[in-house]
Amino acid sequence: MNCDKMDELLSALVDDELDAREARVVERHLQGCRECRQKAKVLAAMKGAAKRAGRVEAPADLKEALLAQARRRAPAPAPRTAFALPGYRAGFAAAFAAAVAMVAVLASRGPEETIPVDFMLAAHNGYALTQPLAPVDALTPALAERLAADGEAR
Amino acid sequence: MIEKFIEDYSDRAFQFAYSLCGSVEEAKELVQEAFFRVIRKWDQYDRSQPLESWFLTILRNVYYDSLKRYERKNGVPLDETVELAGGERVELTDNLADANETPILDRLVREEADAEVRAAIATLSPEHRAIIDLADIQGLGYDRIAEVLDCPAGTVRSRLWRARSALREALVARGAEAAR
Repeated sequence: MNCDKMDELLSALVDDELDAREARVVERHLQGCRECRQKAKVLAAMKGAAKRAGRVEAPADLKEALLAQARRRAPAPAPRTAFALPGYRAGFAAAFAAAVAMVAVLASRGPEETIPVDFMLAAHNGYALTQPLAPVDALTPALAERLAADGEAR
Repeated sequence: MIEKFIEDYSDRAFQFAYSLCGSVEEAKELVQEAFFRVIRKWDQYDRSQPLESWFLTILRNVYYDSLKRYERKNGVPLDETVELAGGERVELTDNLADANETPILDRLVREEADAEVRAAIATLSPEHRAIIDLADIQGLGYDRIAEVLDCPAGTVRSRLWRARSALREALVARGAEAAR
């Protein structure tokens, strides 16, 4: 490879950015080319000098200015919890009021409207009659009579 | 969170901003604007990418946006000439002036080399200053630089070579000037 084609590769060499194949090509070339060896030294020296000389100190007040402006122009706060939002709060209040009203209505119903215990028992046994694991023989004759009576009453 | 971000990145951001614009005050403004873009766009950040590259890319965009605004307002490209520390404005083409090449390697290791190198870097185009800053001063690899500059890694290699050639020319020109 001639020297003109080496320039970019020498620049990449000082950055350690050559792949293995390129590194072998460059190494072979440098062994036989004094001029390119000198170029590579200059590039490495320039890189070191730029690193030393090019660093600039950030002004002392920069961080403070950034923090102050970040506080002033901070993004909108994260969404609050659902119950903290006005719309949800109103909805929750309405649902709670409805539940209280329903309890009050149920509590105000008279004893005549309550479900008779006997009827509940009969219904339970009626359900049991339909199940294969609850054979009809297992029911006492008295209960069977009451079930029949309840059935007629309904 | 934001305090840590500022703590970790403000110095590097300022370094890169300064390499782009060459002015302390302007660099401060660029960094501030870039930080607020970061805050605004935080939900767009792809966490699989390095935060540093994303942030420096935003900073670079802020710089080019400001450049476009300046050009629209004034009708002249901002980077045609650069202002040196002493207030002197220099045409970029000055860097290409033919000069008697002095042994550059010897000059780079002298004590006063830092000031000379700083002055030479200041005469480079913003594009060249930026890539030298990212590669040599901040020590980023080509892949990261490619992300920041939004170009292929191969372009980073060639652009870096051109920037170093320009820096070398600038150093040679300054050496010849000093010898006169």
